[in-house]
Amino acid sequence: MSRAVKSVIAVWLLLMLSTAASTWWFAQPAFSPVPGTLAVMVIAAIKVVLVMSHFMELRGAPRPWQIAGAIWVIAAAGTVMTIYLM
Amino acid sequence: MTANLEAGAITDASAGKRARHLPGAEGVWVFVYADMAVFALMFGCFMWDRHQAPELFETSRLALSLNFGGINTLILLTSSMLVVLGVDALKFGRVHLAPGFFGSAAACGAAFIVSKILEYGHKFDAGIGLTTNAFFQYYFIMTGLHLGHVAVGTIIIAVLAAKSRAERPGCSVAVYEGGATYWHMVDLLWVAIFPLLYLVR
Repeated sequence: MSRAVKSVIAVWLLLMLSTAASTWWFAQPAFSPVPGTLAVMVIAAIKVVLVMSHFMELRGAPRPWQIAGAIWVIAAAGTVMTIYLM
Repeated sequence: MTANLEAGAITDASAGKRARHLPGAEGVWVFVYADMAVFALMFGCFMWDRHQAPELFETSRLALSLNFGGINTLILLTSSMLVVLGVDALKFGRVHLAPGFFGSAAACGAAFIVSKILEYGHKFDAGIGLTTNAFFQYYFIMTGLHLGHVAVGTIIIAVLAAKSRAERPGCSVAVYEGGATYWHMVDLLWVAIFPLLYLVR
């Protein structure tokens, strides 16, 4: 198994666990809504970054493509969180 | 052999020394980013309309099944990982493993489609449709557009599974990387759509 594959499997595990935490913990009625939702949003943004860097292999890609990906995450997460907190 | 595999491994440290590499064709990436931009615009519109009518959006959201959405996320994340393993197998001389990885990834895509059809069925049975209210309009348009992407992606990955059966070590992986990039985008979009529609309270 190449080292890249080992790190991809670790990332996949992290993605699965954080999805479960968002869905069946932070978003549940027992968790207070605003902190719970903000946790869900931050986790989603981190998950997107992990999919970009490790699955789409952006971490080894030329800079301009990395910057475009970063702009998408910042714009999307920034807009969603700003409007949510308004 | 092991040394070769390790040298081929893409790590942050080695990326600087080795030539930076964009997987697949540039055109695929232009399409992927354009597609993602359209969805990001929809995310903004959704949040804005939600901001105007928070009670309506929250009561409507409660009709959604978190279990369906959560499990669908786990399915797509697993499928994406399997595609990474498939491309890796082709790159590093374990060509015989690739059809199994791509085939399993396509099966995950099919499972997502079946689960989504069941979910839509439950909504229609409950009398909920595209015209019910603003929230469900977003729900059906965003998840429907995404489902279209899943259907196209599942076909692409299934075709790659069949194609990979005939590959020999040292084959070109550009086509596989292009298909993989598209499939990861489908995964990435769901990673954003799911919390937005199902989890924002």
